[in-house]
Amino acid sequence: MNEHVVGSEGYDTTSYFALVECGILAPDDRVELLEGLIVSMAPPSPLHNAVVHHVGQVLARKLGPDTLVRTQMTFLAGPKSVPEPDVAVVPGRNTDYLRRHPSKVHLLVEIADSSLAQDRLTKTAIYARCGVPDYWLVNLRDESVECFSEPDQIGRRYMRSERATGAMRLPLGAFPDVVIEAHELFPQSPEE
Amino acid sequence: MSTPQETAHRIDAVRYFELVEEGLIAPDDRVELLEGVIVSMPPQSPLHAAAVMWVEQKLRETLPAGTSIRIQMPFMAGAFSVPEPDVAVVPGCVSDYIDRHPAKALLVVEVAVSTAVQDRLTKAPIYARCGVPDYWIVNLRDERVECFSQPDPIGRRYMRTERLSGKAALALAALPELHIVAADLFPRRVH
Repeated sequence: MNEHVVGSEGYDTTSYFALVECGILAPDDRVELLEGLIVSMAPPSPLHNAVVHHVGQVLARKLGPDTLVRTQMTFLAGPKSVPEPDVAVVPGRNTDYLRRHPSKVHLLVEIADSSLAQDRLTKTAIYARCGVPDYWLVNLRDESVECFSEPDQIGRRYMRSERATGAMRLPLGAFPDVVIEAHELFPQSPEE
Repeated sequence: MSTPQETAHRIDAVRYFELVEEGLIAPDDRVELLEGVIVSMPPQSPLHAAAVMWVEQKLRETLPAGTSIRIQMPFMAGAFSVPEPDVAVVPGCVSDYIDRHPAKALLVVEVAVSTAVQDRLTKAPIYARCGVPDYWIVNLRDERVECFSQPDPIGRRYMRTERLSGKAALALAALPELHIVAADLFPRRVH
């Protein structure tokens, strides 16, 4: 199993996709490439699935039919990271991505229950480094949205972070006229 | 290739435990440090939990004196990795690890339902690098044990790998007295 050999720098996107080509990674293996490491994704809970769907719909409605909103699809986040963010607002049209995955985004959203620490500590560094202008972390534990903006690509961190709840407006630099409040990202049952 | 600056961004084991002290990682966050990257562990299914307990019981039946079993506890696998393997057989007894986590293991076992790829491609190089002599992935999907042995710490890989099932014996370099066959490691319903 020499294919398991990997240098200290880990996998890059090319060697990662080569694992798929040669069948070492199966299409139904739920993994991401994070900083050169192949990492399993947690099996989704019903709540996680429901919130991903809801946030995707809210963004599609607010941003209109000309804006591409992708859910749980591949995003090229630099030379050694291929995450599958829960929701991505991507420039261009769907047909722009028939032969390549997007590597630029307006906004990424991760919905976190069991993955909170990974989303907050590992994904933030990855997204800041590749210049994602806005990153929202939807925290299902306390119904807040952690908003990261002003990425410092060299320092691999966001210069600005704020925790939004209730009617607080979420920052979205690429769409300054669009108003989305924190509570809108959490689906409400009719009886509530 | 990594630039020195990129390597500098990796979190080492010291910084990792500081993040816990500082509250950036909460006690109920289920995470591991793998090659300097903080990674979530998936919530455990009943099957996974039962299989971990089963493996622990089977190992305990024939475990020699002077060793102990740790379940899902931190293991210092080099300067940049603190995994929490499902089962680790370590030298010594509980009181040897009151003020430090073990940095040496005789056997590490990961039970895989959905994580086989991570266990194979990410964990195996980590365990090989820190010289764990035997590493098993108990793969519940196909009822096989993937046995990795003869670690090459510099090449970060195991020189020998086998997939065993049924009555195939699992041999261990550091625990020659252990007699166990592949099928022993998979939980069976007893009625």
